Amino acid sequence: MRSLRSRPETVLLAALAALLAFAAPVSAQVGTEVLAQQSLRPYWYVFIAYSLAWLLLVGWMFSIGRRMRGLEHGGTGDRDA
Amino acid sequence: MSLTRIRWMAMVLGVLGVAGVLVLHWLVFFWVGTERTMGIVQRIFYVHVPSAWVTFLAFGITALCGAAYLWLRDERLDWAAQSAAEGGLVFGAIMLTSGPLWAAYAWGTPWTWEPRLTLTLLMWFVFLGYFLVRASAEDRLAGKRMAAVIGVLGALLIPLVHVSVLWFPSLHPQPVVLNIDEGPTLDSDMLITLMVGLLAFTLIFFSIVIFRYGLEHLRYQHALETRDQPRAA
Repeated sequence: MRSLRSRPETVLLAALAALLAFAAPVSAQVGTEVLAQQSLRPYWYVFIAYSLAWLLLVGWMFSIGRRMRGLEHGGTGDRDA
Repeated sequence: MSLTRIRWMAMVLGVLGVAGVLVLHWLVFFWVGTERTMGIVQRIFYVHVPSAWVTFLAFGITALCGAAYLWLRDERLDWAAQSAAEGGLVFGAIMLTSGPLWAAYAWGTPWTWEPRLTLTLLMWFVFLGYFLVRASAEDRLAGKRMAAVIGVLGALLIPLVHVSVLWFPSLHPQPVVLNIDEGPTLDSDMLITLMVGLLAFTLIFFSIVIFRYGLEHLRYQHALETRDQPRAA
């Protein structure tokens, strides 16, 4: 098994992915009575905005990691420039 | 600088950035008060503004490194410019998706072709062009130089984006932190949360950009190794 030391992107990816789960319970701090009186639409907007942010960042990291692995295994690393 | 050292720098900054992001989420969802007029949807502010800040920072770094590359022709400056530009595109995409989500609720429409939004979108496309030029140029060196020029010209839009809301008041709010006349007009709790967001996003940005710089370093090493290998035929 390769050590975590040689795969820092794995550690960072895991940490960033955990944030997605953390961003979800927006409504946790609001009581159910208040929730029942409000539309859930703004909560969805907040949830989508935070989820998209972390998905884009995790996707970017994953993309760099994939290109790095490609190079390390003798490929071209999908050179984009 | 060795690849191992680059990776460790990225790792350290990344861990600090993730810790900052965890604190930011706690502040956003459990500590800071809800804004009276817009309600819960205003919490998008804490991801929208930091991503905008990092986008401008990234494109600024791209311009500086691009200009320095044109002058010194040091490949490492091009690697840094390219890495920062890629980060700018990602954080720009976060800014350009979180903003319309907020606007869809606060303004009743996700997008209007008002100066700040239009200029920001234009800037994002200019930096997309930065990569298209690099990828499409037959002469790789010429592609790098043209991209560096595009990076420098694209960054000229940064101050324009900032002053656009002052020169052409529209639906987009006026600056609440970089307000020259009155200073920050935000509530202190909101300002603290925003500052934590700015710090966390900046750390995450530098972490991933250094990691991305490592990719260019690896490509360079790979190219050297390939060149040095004896030819079979």
